[in-house]
Amino acid sequence: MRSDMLLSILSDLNGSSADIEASAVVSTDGLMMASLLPQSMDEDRVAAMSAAMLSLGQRSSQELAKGNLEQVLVKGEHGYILMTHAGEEAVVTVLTSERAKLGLIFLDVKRAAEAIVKLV
Amino acid sequence: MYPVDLEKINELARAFSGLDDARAAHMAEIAQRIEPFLDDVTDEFYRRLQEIEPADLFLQGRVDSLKKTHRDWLGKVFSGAYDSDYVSEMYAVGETHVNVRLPLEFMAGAMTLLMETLTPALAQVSNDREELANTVQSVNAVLGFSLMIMQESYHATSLANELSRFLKVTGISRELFSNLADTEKP
Repeated sequence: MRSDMLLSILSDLNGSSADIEASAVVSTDGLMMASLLPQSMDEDRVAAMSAAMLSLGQRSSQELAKGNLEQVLVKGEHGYILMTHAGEEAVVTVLTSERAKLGLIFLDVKRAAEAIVKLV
Repeated sequence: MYPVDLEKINELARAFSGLDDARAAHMAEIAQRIEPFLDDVTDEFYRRLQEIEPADLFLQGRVDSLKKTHRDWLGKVFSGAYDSDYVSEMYAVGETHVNVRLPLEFMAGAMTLLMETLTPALAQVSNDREELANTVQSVNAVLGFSLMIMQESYHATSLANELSRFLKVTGISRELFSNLADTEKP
């Protein structure tokens, strides 16, 4: 039931922009909760790596006096990976194309994270 | 982080060192004869260690207390009892060596030096060449057995300490670390 609702949120998120290619909700200890990822991707690895990136980002932000972490953004040759907390227990990971308008996507992801917080 | 299987370490160390019941019994048999030599062996061992400059750095200011610990342990080496208490004690020594940042190679070096220091005493307490050979083999077995346990402990403790520091720096929890590592199982 909760998994279906999480998938529904991810589906709406993916539909909010043609540049969002995939998304997932993972627990902060690195386990997959719900995902809309390409079949070629290893879900377990995406989950664990996302949580680890966010954890390291949180520590870096505090260490470098930038306060609490809001998001981690990775830019690759073929697009972006955006990770953000959804409350204390979950992480939202979004993959976009290289043409993505990040400002709009940040807003959509923030909205999705707020909806996820109510479920986890 | 992970439970230590001392019984498994005990079995492996026995298999490699050749420490069996006959050799353990021989150690107990010569214990009384070697006892009068052990104070001098300890003094000579530390005199030789202090001549090795990198080793001496770890001894400064605590030679007397280390000598006492070493002398007590030498008594146990010749006790003939290499049970779970002995294994636990050797394991704890390995942990202590990590905590005082003693380089790994110093443990094997010290055991080699100890055998060198013990050998004249072993010759004096042996009645003939056959018994001396048996005694040397038995002492080698006990020292090798002890060294293997200490090295296993040193390795495990070093890795655990390193992991703790990594987790602290990155903020990654043990659960997350474990899940991350599981994604790369062979």
